[in-house]
Amino acid sequence: MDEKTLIAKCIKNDIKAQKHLYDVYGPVLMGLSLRYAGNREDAEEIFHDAMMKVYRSIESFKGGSSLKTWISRVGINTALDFLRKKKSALMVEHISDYALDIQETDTEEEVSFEAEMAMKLLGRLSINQQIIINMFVVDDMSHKEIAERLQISEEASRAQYSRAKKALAELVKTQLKKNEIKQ
Amino acid sequence: MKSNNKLNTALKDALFEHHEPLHDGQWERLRAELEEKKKRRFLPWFFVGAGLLLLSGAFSYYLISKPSVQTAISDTTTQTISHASATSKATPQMDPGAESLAKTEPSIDNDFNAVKGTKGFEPYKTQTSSGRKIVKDGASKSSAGKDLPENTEPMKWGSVDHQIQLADINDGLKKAVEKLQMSVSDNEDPIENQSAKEGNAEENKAETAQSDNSTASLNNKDTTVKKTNKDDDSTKKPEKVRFIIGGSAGIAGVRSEVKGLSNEERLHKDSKNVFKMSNENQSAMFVNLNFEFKLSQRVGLRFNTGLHYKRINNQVNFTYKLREIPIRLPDNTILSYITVPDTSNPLVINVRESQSYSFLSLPLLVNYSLPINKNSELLIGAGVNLSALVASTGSSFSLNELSYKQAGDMIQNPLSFGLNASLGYSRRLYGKWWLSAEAGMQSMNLRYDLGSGELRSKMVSQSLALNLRYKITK
Repeated sequence: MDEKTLIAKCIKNDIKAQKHLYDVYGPVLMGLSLRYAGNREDAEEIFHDAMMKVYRSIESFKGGSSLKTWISRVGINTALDFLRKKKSALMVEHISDYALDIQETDTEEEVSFEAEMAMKLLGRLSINQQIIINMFVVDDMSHKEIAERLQISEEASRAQYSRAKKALAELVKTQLKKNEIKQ
Repeated sequence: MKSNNKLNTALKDALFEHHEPLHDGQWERLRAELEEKKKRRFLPWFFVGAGLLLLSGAFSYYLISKPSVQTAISDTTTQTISHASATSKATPQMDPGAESLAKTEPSIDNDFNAVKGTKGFEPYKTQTSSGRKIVKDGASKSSAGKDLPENTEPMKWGSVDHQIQLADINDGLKKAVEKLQMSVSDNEDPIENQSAKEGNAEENKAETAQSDNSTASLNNKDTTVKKTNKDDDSTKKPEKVRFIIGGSAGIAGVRSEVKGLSNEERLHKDSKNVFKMSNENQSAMFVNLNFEFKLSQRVGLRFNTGLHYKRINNQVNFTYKLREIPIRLPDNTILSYITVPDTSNPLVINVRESQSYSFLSLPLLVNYSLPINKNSELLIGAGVNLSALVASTGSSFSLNELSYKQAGDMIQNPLSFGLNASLGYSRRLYGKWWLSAEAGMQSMNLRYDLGSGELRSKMVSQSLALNLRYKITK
């Protein structure tokens, strides 16, 4: 079933097409949900809400991007809404926290890891740091876009990213030392 | 500016297209919600559609039935109006022979005098009295028209044209009376007019005796017009309907909504959604005997005193997940349960259930009849109903005992109360027999014991039924 037909059938509430959409794009959306939520239980809630939003608003998909990208965006928005509700203090931090040196941190060595390990590492960061890494690094969003989504300033976004990256680099270094991460 | 350092690249490579496997429960939960939305969408449209159907049916009938009288009249009026103008002038100048015959046929004039004043009947009267008298009076044909005023062109009696005209007049008249009779009998209540008919029987006989066969036939028809006129004048009160008995059959779509689940913390969250969808796609058929006691001419108390037999077939195939793991003794009896969190691997039980329930319902409705005309009415009803489980087949899975049980044993309340509402359009078939199409809604509250806590379920059915009713008058 091609994308256009799939969309048309989903608009008509064809249950088979909806199941097909679930089978094709569900696993990626679930992966995204897990990245943002940090645990399976919340991830399932985010996934469920996101899929329902996809089914409900698929009519509004105009084809400006691929369906996969659109579904990912829906997933990110849903995850942010969910986390905002669950943790009301999301991204609300003192302005003094932004007065950090915004600098790019990196590891000295070449690293690569499996998804599971990457998730573990992300899970050790604070929820705000997880979100900013997910949005900026994995989902390739700009600080401007992140600022808009999180309703914070671009500077705040940069500062959060810088802190998150630093913390992540420290974690990776520690792991490398413990030889838990295979290069 | 995007940084492209090693750590970012490693993270992106690992996570960007990361897939996580999905389990069946997630799709079942989504499907349940999608189906529920579809049904929610369907429900209001069902009632809007049923209401519109009934209203349009009633309205179209009203529109069709009303002009039918006018059409019958106007058709014949068109046929005879030209003749009427000519003969009406001739009538006062009729010869003594014609007058004598007119005296022997008083009923015709009288009959049409009875409908005098009704728009469109005037031409019939003039036409009938003049035309028929002239035809009967064969002896006067030769002298006809000799005393006519000068400014009036007399008819030439016996001429071919005149014979044709008279034949036309008679044909037109007969058709008019027949159509009129049909229209009138459509609108009159034969029951209500029964005594009127009897009362007029003697009068009919007298009239018939005085007339020849064709006149008698016309007289009988005219008598009907006269009787209708009596009804119109409200000289006779309609008989009161005291009771209505009826029988109906129909189909229903049943929507089940889980209202609550006690001890639900004992279940895995996916199982809660399984419950919500476990009763979907049900249908029912029912037969029903009903008895209505009329409190007034419009309001009645309706019992469905006989059978309201509803059979629900339910086939489900789903997976239960339990947060509880039973600890069994060697003899397989359950000692206790260990509760595990949702995130841990739940106990998965694949279940296939097939059940069939039969209920006997006794609805009690207050019915309001809104007459559209003498032959049709709208019925609006609301009330309560008592439903009893009378039979069940199949099995259900008991989560507590982790085994299949008889479906009927799982229902905790074999008697349940619910609400009832209906909207119908009723049409007279013949005499006291009426047929109504009714759209209704019934609710029924059932409690299932699924072992791991009581499941309260509200079943709402939307029904369409045909109801044959017989009205018993005083």
